[in-house]
Amino acid sequence: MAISLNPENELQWVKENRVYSALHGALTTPEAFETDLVVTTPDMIVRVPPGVVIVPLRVTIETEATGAAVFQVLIRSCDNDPGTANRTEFTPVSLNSRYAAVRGKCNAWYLSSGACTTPTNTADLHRVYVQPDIDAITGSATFEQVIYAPLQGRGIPAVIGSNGSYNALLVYVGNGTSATGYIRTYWAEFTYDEFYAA
Amino acid sequence: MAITLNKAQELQWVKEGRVYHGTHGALTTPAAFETDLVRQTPDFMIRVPAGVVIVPLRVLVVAEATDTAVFQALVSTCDNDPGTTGRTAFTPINVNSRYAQRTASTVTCYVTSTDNSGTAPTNVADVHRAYVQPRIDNVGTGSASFDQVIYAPLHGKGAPCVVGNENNMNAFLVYVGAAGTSTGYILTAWAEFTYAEFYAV
Repeated sequence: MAISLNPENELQWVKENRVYSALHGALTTPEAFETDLVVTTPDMIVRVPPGVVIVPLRVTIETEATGAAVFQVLIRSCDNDPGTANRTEFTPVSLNSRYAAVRGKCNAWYLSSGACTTPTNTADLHRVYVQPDIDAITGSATFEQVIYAPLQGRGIPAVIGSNGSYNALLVYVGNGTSATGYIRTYWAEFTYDEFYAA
Repeated sequence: MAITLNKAQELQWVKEGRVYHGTHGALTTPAAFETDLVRQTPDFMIRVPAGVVIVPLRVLVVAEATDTAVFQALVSTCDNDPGTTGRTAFTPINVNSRYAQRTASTVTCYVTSTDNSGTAPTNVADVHRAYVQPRIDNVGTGSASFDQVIYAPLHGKGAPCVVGNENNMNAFLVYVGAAGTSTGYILTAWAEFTYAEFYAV
């Protein structure tokens, strides 16, 4: 039976243990962001293996230290495998505490100490460009920074996954100099067969 | 019969007496926030006993006095019992006034962490985060932040989660880390289900 892809099913997917999270930066230890948007150095990759389909639900990014203007973010998908070279694995955690110790179908990778395989047939899903040096702003307090919530109209919805090869969700941050912060990525997982069942 | 887990059901759950709230800080007496994010010192915690499942609906954090920069908030879940050592119990209240006095919540809430001797949360999932660089109560007269930290996961603010297990205690945790002497208010709301009805087919 086909899966209902109504956005209002988000919580149902959590119940069914389909929704997983991956973090870049933990608790009070932010991670270094890349200094610019470069196709082969995403800050976070969610690799979707053959036979699996994901629906990205949220990506949120908070800056901690920003070394200079400008701050940029790009979220995109690709239809090949960017690989795992020069990256650190993060084990995704279910958002249903009943299944918190149960592994998901995808792997997440963060930190770019070198180039990945060039993503192909990319689709840009969300973008942010902030002109000033964020941590130098004292005249206002920004409680929400980068929010990709495609089923709520923030960014473009996407489906990522194929029957025969790896696909990927890619998150890029580019900030002038010595910038740090946190990335949190959430997605729902389906098997290819159940997702495309008639 | 399986429960419909559609966000349009929020008010229905209120009608059914399933939605409770807990607060930290009351009326004009704000609570003291923790000075940093530490897993064992949540500012607000909901302990979900075995056989109960909750769906967090809202968390609002509002700063009053902020001594200095930086201000952080983190909302997360865990699959163990962080314990109650060094914390003060808060009795949840139903947000359906019909049930406000006579229907007890099935979970327990705790506020204020006076020490970090509790059990470390395990298999944590972070579902919302805020990081604000400037000192909030000193941003000057050029702007006013009416909405501060808002976790409303079924409406796109933060990620939705389900907290609860059949056999052991799980927990929902709200952390504030504000350097110096900072105060404010935390408001939370969640829907409660029995494990059996939540996972009924």
